[in-house]
Amino acid sequence: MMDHPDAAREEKIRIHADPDLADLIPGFLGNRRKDIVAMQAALEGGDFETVRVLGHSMKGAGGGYGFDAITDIGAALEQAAKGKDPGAVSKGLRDLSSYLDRVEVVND
Amino acid sequence: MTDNMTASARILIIDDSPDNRLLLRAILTASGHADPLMAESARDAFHHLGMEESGGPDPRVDLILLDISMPMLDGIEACRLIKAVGRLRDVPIIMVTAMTDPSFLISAFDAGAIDYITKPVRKVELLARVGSALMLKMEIDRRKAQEKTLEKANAELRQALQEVKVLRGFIPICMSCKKIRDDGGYWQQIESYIQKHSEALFSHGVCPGCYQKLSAEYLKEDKINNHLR
Repeated sequence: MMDHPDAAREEKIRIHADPDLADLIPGFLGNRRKDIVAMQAALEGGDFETVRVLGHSMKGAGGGYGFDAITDIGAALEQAAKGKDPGAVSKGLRDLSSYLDRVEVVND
Repeated sequence: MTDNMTASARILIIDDSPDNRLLLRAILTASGHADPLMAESARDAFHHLGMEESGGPDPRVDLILLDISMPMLDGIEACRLIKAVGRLRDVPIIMVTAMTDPSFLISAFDAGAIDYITKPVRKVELLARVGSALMLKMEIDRRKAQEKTLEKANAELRQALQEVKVLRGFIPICMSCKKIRDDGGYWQQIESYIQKHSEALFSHGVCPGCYQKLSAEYLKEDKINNHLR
């Protein structure tokens, strides 16, 4: 589902923000966009270590901000980088991009 | 919410990820903790802890939240180095980690960590573990203060006992006038010497024997004076 661009446009994911973290969430999601750019460049340069480190960091932070999917994608990217698997890294980056396009943060 | 005691505690967050540092800080401050110190690396943390300059400032830190996976110097080695500093030995360290391999946790406990929190961090778990660690730190501080008070009282008691011993030892006394020679070699009245070396006080009077002797001397002197007149 997440691989399909039309589906990505259609399905919105609503996440209810923790009020204590609401101010930080836009910055957190913006940093994930930057991660995509950095990991894409690293992948093109065969730098799997950078992908592993950024994936590990995403895995650790995502769920804390309320985005469990980012933790899961980060874990998949970390594993893909450890296995030096460019296809799996590309898939992880597409999943992350799709998720960021669809996620909607609701401040209650 | 935290109680007043733990709210004023100083927490140091060491994590190379800005997102993680901000997350921990937001959760802690929202629950009433003081704004924590933040370090982006182990070296940065050593600076905050005053470990780099000998004789430098001794900043108070009550709890350290330490990420395991960091570039250059990882959290386990950082934990070992912090625990090797005497004044920081009692500061509790909680490892915060996305590492799932138990061998990392075993190494962390071996290095001196008292607890760990897994990433992604859950608010309830973070606050509960931080609260427990701060209570432990406060208990350690309370006992250390108590120990210090006892040591001081013990030293005062030893000093007092030493002074009592002076009166118990050999005291040079004049066999005729009963003056006592002090440590400086000066002859002192026995009552002033005892007053100086004890809690005793003297009230002056004349005993019957001395009264008779003094009266006889006075009368004799009076007779001589009358005779001379």
